[in-house]
Amino acid sequence: MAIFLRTKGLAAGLWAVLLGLASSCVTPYIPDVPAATQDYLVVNGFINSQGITRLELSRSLALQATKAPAVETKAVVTIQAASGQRFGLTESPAGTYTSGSLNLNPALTYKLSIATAGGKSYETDYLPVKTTPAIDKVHWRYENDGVQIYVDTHDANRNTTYYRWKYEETWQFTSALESFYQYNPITKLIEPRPDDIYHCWGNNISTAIKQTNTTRLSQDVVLDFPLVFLPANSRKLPIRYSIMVQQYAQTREEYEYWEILRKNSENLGTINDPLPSQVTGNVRCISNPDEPALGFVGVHSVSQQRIYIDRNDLPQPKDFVFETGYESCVEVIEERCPPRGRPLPPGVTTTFNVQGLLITKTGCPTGTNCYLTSCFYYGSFTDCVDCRLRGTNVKPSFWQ
Amino acid sequence: MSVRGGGTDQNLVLFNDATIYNPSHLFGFFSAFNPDMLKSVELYKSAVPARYGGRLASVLDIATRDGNKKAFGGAGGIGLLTSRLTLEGPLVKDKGSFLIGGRSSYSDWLLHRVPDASLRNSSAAFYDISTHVTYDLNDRNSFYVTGYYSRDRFRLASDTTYRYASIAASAKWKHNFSNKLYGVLTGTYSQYDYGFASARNPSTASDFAYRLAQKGVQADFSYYHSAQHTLDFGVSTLLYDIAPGSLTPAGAASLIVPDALQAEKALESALYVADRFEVSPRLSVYAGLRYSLFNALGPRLVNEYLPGASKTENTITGTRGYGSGQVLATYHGPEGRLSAKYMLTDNASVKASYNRMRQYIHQLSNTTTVSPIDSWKLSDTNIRPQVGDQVSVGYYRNFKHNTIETSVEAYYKVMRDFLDYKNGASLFLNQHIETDVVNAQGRAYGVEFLARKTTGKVNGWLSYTYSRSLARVNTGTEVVNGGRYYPSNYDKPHDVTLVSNYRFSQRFSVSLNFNYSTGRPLTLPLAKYYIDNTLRVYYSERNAYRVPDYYRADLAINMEGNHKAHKLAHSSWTLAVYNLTGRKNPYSVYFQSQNGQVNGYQLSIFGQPIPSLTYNFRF
Repeated sequence: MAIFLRTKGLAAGLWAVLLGLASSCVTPYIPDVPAATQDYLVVNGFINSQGITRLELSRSLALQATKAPAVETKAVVTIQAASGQRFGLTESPAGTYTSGSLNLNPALTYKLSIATAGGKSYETDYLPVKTTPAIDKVHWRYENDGVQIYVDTHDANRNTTYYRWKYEETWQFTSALESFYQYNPITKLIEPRPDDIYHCWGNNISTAIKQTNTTRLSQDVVLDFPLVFLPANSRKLPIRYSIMVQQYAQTREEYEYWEILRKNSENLGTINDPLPSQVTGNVRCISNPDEPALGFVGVHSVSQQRIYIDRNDLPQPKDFVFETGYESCVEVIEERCPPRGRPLPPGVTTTFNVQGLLITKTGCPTGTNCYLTSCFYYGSFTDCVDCRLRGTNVKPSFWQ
Repeated sequence: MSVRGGGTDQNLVLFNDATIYNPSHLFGFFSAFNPDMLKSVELYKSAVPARYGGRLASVLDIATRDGNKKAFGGAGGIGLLTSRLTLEGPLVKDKGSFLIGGRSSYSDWLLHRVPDASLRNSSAAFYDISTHVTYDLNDRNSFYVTGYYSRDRFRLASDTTYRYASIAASAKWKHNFSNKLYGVLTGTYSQYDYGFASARNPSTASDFAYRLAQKGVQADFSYYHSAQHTLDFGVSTLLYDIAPGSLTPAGAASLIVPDALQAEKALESALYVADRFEVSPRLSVYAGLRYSLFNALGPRLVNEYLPGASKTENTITGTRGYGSGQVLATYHGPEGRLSAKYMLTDNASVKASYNRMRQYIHQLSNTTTVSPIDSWKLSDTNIRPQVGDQVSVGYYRNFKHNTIETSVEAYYKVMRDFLDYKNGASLFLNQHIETDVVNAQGRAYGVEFLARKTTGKVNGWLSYTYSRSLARVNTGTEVVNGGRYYPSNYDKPHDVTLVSNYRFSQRFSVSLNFNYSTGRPLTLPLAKYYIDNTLRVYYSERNAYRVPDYYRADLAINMEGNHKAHKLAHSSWTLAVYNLTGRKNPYSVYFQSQNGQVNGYQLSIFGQPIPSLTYNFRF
């Protein structure tokens, strides 16, 4: 009865509430969780039924940890067929276990066994082999002010139903300013730059979980599954863009695992977040059934397809301005060139050696005559000149 | 408020018979009702009269008092940031009266002067106003009109401003047919709306709004048959109209795409009859039967799902459209109410009761955020109503000429089809919420001990409750925690409450209140790991952990003014300290992922002792 009619004194002290807000405070909340509930085996990868299997074993970490996860080394990792045949995996580098090129029998089931150096054993159930159908087509359309990339596939045998994709994007780009010269600290001279740090390739590996199923369809067909959207002015598009799509056939269990993992989203604590839930995977610790292991190991093959999108393929007008990420870069006249044969003045050394600015070119300001005045070195910040800070200047082997 | 392990949505709060959906100001720390306005507050949790229905756990029936029909008067209190005032008096001498009261916080100006920048960005304000008018036409007919409006707004160190408002109105006509039979015809209107506006980033500035409206008509009769039998009977109907959420862009620069959920409508009707039967001077029995009927109404598009499969977006087989007023789902059933009281001696008695309750409206709350929000959702084709059965027995014993009351009550409850969430449920603006919730089964049991001293220099009460509230989800298609029972969100096994007053003299008294309860269950992130170079979080089983225990002590000192008869106003001062020990009780616990770390935060709203001073007056 006294729920609302608090004692008179307290009901009267309403203003306290407002001061109370002034004293509202957000403090770190570190739950009292035993450390043992934070250190579990994590298995990342799948058993490739037609090729090389590559599994990464690591450990989970406390939530506040800042270090990289520890890898699980010196484990004995084996793929075992229900028929008894076994395939060992070898470790290289530490924590990564690789098989030879396998060709597993789709009529059999296979399981993964892991014996850790610490003496614990983990394994999956015997899992069916899902043979991934070929990707019919990776294609794109220009729509909604951008490039939407789609994937199409089908399984005439109706055996797949659950599909998942990963992709890797690569694109050509240039830094803001091309560097034709460099300061050589040995000769203490400014010399022509031998390498190209202007043309680079950027790279991005998908992190989002992309999957779908065809349970509601009368055929096992995926048409126009949206994989990636690039806004019209994307920095990936101004020269040449490529995407490699990898497709995996999954069991329903694996699909559901990724679905929950997707919902336990990267983004926590906002109003439209899903309520999180426990998900472990299909690897069990058999030496301690209470200890979870994390990760889902499917047995399937991979099919993949790469496409390219050229600047010329795009409908954007010739003078269209793409985002570059270099918008704030400017080229500045830094130092006057020394007369031929003379050593560099100290200012040049400081600017290009000590302060780390890179020389882009030599020249003279517009309207002046270099034959009459001596030239100037132009330069800019490293990040504006050296594209390797945002990619690699080594042409990828696949690049066409 | 959770009663006997029930959800916060399982309590019916009636203000002169109009439903109040959010009976609190400012995070539930203060009642939404002005104590100066009230005549009685009756909480039914064991034996619920057949007249009430629609919630599983309890009914809180709040009645305003009638204004003074003879003379004008008033009461109030002045504090530093809020004040309250009540006025009353005759409208027509001896026939009609009014009572009007209001409370308000003044402004946020003090908060905005706090040096801490994040707190300067906080704000909170509320006000409420209520009024009650009575008119006695003659000996046989009386009329009553009540209105209530309350509004809250707050922002907690963030860029999002939350607001909510309640409206409740009722009009009653009481007619005495004879000296044995009277009836009350009541019309009610209730509205609850809330929303939040986010404005920090102009491109994502948005406004979210939710609104529930409820219109009701009921006729209640009471027939005094004889000294043995009093019959209560009646009929009622409620029309719900819910706009369950809309998101609109705020400002010209906003890129938010407008989105809205379909409106929901339904009719909830009931018939009841009950007999209060004095079997003997020692034994009295209450037997009631209520029959409730729920019709979910169009217009609405309803998803149809593959039978026998988990309801997901992938098992939608079609969509069926219903026209305006067309019935899309019907649920109904009897609700038996039975209780008996037997006097063992003049100062000892036992009571036993059985209740069945049916509930057609459910609350959805997202508790993983800094500011939890709650929406109400009607039962429909895909969401069944909740049904609860409770048995309870109690033993009551008074001592020392009834100045000390003691009791022990035990209860066992079975709850069917209350809503819990599927793993990974998404509640915000979900167009097909049935794919993310599941009708869960539950049971709750407990034992309540109470000792109360009603008079004397030292008075007050002390209670201890042991209770459990467990839920289980194990249908053919949905499983949570391996299909085992797990602690529900309202499982708080231990609760100790002490309310004590010590009167030093006629003019000076001190009260000390203390409350302890087990922290509520929580699903915790336990560890993080990387799959394909992406950070993932490993969570515990649902509700496997608990937030820290809650405890709070409050102290108040009352000083009455002198009691000279010819003084214009009677006054008192109250000096109170809320949360005397400065315990940082968690209001919310949430986690955020920041630069590869998953950090937990606890928001405490009253995390330090808060003194207050109020001047109270009455004239």
